[in-house]
Amino acid sequence: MQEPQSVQKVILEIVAELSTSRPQQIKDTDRLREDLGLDSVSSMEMLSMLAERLDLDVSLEEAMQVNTVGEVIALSERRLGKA
Amino acid sequence: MPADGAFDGEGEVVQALLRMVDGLLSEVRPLRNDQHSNLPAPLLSAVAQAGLFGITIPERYGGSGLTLGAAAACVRAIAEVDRSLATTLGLHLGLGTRGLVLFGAPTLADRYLPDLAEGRRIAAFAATEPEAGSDLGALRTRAERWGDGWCLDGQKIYVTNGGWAGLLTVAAVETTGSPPALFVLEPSSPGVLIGREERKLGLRASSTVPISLEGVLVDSAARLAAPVGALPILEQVLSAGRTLLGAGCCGAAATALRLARAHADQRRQFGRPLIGLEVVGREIALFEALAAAADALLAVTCVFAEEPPALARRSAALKVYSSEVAWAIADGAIQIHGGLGVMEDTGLPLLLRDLRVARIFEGANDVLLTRLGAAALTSPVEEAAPYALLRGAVDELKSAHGARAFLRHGALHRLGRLWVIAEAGAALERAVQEARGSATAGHVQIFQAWARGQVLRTQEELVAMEVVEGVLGTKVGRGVPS
Repeated sequence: MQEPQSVQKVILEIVAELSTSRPQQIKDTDRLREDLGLDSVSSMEMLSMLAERLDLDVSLEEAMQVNTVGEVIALSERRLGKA
Repeated sequence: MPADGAFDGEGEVVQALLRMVDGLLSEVRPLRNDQHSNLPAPLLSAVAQAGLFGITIPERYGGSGLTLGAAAACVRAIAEVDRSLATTLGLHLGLGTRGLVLFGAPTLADRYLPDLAEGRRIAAFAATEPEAGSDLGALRTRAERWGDGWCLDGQKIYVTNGGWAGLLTVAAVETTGSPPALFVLEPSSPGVLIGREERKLGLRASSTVPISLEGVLVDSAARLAAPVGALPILEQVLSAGRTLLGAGCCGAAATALRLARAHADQRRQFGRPLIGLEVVGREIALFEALAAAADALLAVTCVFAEEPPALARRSAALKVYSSEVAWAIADGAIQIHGGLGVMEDTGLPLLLRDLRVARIFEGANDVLLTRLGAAALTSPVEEAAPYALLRGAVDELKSAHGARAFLRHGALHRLGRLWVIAEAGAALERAVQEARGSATAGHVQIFQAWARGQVLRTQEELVAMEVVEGVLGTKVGRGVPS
């Protein structure tokens, strides 16, 4: 089971990888599309990578509801039983 | 051309344009142009005199202000005879001027569009770089603030029209990883170095050069920008380019089909004309159906010219389908010609060589297919019958992998293929229902049988990635190309 700290770290690394922002520049309130420049496909790809790395069971419909980095973290923590 | 609704409201004007194009084409010598690797200056002057460089440029700047559909009709007609000329004109009308027409500041439009409309300047578009081909997210050409304007530095390659360009639209990033912006500049600007003409497999009479930008200064108006919230400018420009590339492929496919049919009607083997042999007859009927679907898809795509998100998706499907079908028909036409098919005087080897790059440039087909497949997962699939197989495949992938479906690159590629086939099939059926073009119910039947075969083929080809990795002896990366 991943610790919350490391979950957040993994998420920020993945977001940074796809958006080419630095992890330390990314804020919870950043919107995936408008602020980080991820289009619908790359934001889905990000959630896909997250599900793979953290072994999360996330449906496509749930993934499509996510708009901000904070919501990604919250969804991941819910699935990991941390919230 | 699909004289069938792609340019409703301007039909007569387009027909007049096509008659003018016909007259002009009677003087074109594609084999000679290919051998000389050049389009003669008098030919380009004639194209300019005919007003073809200004088809899509607004009338207030001296153009005809016609639609993308009208441009597609002309490019398609020219590609039937000379793909290099069609590429030169199509590039000018699409990638070369679309950004400036849609998003250019008034000062920029006033300065350049009149010359572009009259063909005194030919437009080129520079996006590809040594390290950024299909992966435009990897662009390194930088645009940095310099006083009130911008300073551009970088290397561009494979710039179509670059050797005779009077205006360049250049893709550059302002910070590493930021979405590309487009900048308009003159090739004569200090710091612009035009390299020598590339030697190519096909489209030899068109111009393709590398261009180096070293501290090129442009004013602030030179930066083209789409409004906030709109589809990114690069996507919009590429959509126009892919539509016109598709139009060229439709023209090339028509020529290949015409040559194949003429030879099969006239050539006798085994005591009858080739067309009377079952295998040849079936093949040519299939080519007719595939080409009719390409024309129908072109017409449908042009209808969405003013709807950027819809045009982006449809132009990608058109580009993939028409380039693959044109290649298949040209290859089949050579086969039907037998030994004669590889003789240059038939025009078939030139046709095949010209067509090869169509599956690569303006978005490699495999990249577009994977992105279309990814898009199929995030947007509703149409209810019409031709989309049934696609809907089933999307549901299956979603339920098997949930959000992780986006890492199933091969499956996404397959979805993209199903989407392209569905779009072409739906367009063909609509054309027949509305009695547009020359498509018939028989073409639909043949297309549907072909489509079923294609779908089965994609299913059979997807073996487990572990098997592929075992054969390759290396891990295979996952993810959707952006």
